[in-house]
Amino acid sequence: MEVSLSRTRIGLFLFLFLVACGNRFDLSTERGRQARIDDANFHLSKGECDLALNAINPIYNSPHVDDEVRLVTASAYACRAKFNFLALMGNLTGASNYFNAIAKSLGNSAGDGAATDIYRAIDALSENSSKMSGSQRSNSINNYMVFIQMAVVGIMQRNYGSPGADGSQGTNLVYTTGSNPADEMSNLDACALSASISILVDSFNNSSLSDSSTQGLVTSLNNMCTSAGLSSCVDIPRDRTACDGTNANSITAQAVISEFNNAW
Amino acid sequence: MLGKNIQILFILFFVSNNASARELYGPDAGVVPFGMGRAYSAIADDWLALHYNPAGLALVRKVDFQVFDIKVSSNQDVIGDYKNISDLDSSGSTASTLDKYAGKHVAAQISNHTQITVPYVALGFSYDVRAEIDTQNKSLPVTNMRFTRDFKVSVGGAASIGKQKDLRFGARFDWIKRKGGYRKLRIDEISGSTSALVDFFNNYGDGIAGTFGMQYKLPLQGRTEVITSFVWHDIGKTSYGSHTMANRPTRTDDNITVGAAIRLPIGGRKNRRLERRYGPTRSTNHLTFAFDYSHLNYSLDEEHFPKHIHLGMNLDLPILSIQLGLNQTSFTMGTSFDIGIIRVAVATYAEELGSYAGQRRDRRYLLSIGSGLGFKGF
Repeated sequence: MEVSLSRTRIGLFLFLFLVACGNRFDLSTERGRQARIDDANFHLSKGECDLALNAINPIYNSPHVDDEVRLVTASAYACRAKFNFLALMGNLTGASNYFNAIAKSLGNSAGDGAATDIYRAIDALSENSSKMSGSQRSNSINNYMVFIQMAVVGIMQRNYGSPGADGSQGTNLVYTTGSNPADEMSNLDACALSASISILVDSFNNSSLSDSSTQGLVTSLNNMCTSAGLSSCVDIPRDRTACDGTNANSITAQAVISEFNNAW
Repeated sequence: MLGKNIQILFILFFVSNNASARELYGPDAGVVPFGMGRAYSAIADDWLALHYNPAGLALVRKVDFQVFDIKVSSNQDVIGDYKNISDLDSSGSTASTLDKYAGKHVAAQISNHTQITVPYVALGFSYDVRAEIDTQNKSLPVTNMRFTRDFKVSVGGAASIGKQKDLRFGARFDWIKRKGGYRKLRIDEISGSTSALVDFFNNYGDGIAGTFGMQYKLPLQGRTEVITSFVWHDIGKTSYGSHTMANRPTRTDDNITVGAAIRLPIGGRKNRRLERRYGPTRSTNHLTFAFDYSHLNYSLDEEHFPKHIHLGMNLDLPILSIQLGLNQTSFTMGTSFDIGIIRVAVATYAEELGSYAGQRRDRRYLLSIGSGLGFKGF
């Protein structure tokens, strides 16, 4: 009887404890959803990108997905691409050459898959390319999209431009329509770089960013686009998969990359 | 100009949850309650009763003039990051400044309480400066900042029913002048300069707060006391300044706390340390166990159950008192002793910063030095 009573008490205690604590990740509750977001942010503080993705994916793939979840998911992929927002922003502030600042802020190297991860970040923010115009997206998404596109630029610089420690250009980025030899930029990367300039400027125009550094970078890009014979950067096609090496998108990308070398 | 620079330094670095993952703030006068896991509503019967449960003012039997009680506190990340803090440069960008603190919660507080406490009534003046920076996620910074500077005048009163004051109730009214608040920074704000950031925390506002409390001692035989309590802090939330203000100081949310305690006298010896301060009544050595359930007004869907829980023990001995406890899910401890008329108290505790208990704990350390003068009772 004594033993039985003791077990009953223990069972009752455990029952009450579990009921009281609940499922900490219950997606049907605000606290459960917030717990996943907080877990992801916590892992991202320590550079644990894959653990962050594990934490955020259940809610990203659920009907509860919203802009905050998209932002955290994008940041987890950006983490895998070795993107550090604060380092980038710190380098950009007051920089004499914005492209040097971007190049030295990324941590990737050729062939490490950073480009693939940053493309996934863009897909999370653009809702799998269904919202490629800044006017379709919220202010907060556009704010972050600006910096994610800077990351695309930086990754391409490091993959193909051999930058020095200060971010200065080592070699020209080369993309030649028609031939596209093996050591040049791939169709995907060339189109992604030119698209990133378009998306960056368009996102900035639909954002609440007003700092002089980002504004200065956008001005530099607009000047570059004008030099490339475009009326505006936002005229550049934004589909990174659209280049085949011979079509109009490829020709535009080639012109943009040529001017990018001059600007860097 | 110098003053503004000091403020920048203080905001950005010298000092200390949530975002919606948040720290549950409660009364924070004194150090002893923190050593007890912040379980103090049922046992408050000294000058701290004004802050933790004004009903306890009914148990005060002496005039106690506390000239000062200066408290400093900081957390583990302040101590670990001393070099970064000492190298602080306010001329840089906000981003490069925050980059040094990514993944950390830097928090510190300085306060002083001056108070006169007489039986049933207390009048207090307090000054409190607190700052925190919490930056998570290096790829997309989630940055919460707090800078508050509060000057508060508090008046409390209590009444009792029963021959042994078994049922006690009390109220406190505060006039507070607050500067600053809490803010979750957006990335477009991080991309600016530090001086622009300081402007978010520059506004003042006045607020009036009300708190109501009760204590009930169960009618048991003997000297052992079992006490229950109820306190509603900041009834209806306390707002500061006009609702038309930009960057208005952050309001203080209300906090309903219920508690219970058992107080076990040890022997029959008078505890002169307590008697000198609070008069002869109940001034024996004693061992107290206390429990508080705080923030009853937040449902379990809003805040994880263990974040509401506070357990504590206080052993009052002639030379010193020793506290042990559990604040939410973290161990706490502290001690308090007198050197002449100077009272020294130290404690450590940890606070939950995440959306569920155990997700993120913030270990903190407190030290207070106070000077109190006791006079004969009424």
